[in-house]
Amino acid sequence: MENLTEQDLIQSILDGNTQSFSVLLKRYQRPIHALIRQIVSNKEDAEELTQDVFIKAFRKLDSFKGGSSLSTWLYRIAWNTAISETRKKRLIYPEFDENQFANLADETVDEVLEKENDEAQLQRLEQAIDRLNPEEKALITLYYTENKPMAEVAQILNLKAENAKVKMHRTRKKIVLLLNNEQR
Amino acid sequence: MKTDKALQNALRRKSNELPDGFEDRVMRQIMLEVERKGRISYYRALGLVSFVSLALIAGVLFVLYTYFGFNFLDLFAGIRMPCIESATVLTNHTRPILAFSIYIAVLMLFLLGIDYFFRQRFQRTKKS
Repeated sequence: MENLTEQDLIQSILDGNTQSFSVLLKRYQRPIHALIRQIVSNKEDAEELTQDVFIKAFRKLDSFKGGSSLSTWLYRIAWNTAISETRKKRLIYPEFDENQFANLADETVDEVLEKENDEAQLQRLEQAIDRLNPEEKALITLYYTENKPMAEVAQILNLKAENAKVKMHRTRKKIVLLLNNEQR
Repeated sequence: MKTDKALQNALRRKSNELPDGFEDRVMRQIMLEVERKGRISYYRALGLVSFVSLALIAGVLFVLYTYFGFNFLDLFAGIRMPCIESATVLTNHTRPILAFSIYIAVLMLFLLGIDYFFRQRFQRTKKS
């Protein structure tokens, strides 16, 4: 059953073979949890939301028409579930003005984010990521840890591809600005 | 886009382990969802059957009334219920019968109550 294609797997579940869902669960639980964990930070909330994502997916599976891959569809559910949760908390995220973005050279950003860091620097980088807004966190998680192409990242986050690229560019700069702010 | 090694490393630092039994927990929820879906489709079917049956009865009555001149009010007007006055019912002869009937009714309600209670308990233990 593990070798079933996505389409066969979905058909099997829709035909009433509920155990086939465990294959889907095994395949996608880790990446879905990774995205949610990055967005909501709290471990217990992330587990609970990951569970909710799979229950929602099971409920809506008959509405999946194959317009995108199953993973994209699941990530979209995960993104919507996680963003609803963060909206409830009404957190405030740091923002920077346009001048600060413009004054930061791309080369500096490349240098900071590219070089192999020591433990202390990685820790600061991790803290900076925690201060990003949910959309920025989702963008970098999907792109860098799940290795999704930018077009798919845009589809998951319901953005235009060009818009997603611009946001990614700004997010990278924002991380460096957050690091610089912290060092001052 | 650059590989941004430092960013990748920082993102991977956050623990992404799901607890043992997570999969079983989700599958249990999925099974409950299957049961819920089954119940919903049963009640939907029941509602549909009831609606169609009532519509058919209404249709038959309409046809009978409109095309065959069958008047139901006349039919019901012909039925007479026996008139019982309380003074004649509660005689020395009927009083024990009434008391016995009440006793049987109370006993039945009591037994039905016990039946309901044990059914609920059985369902709960079966679920858990």
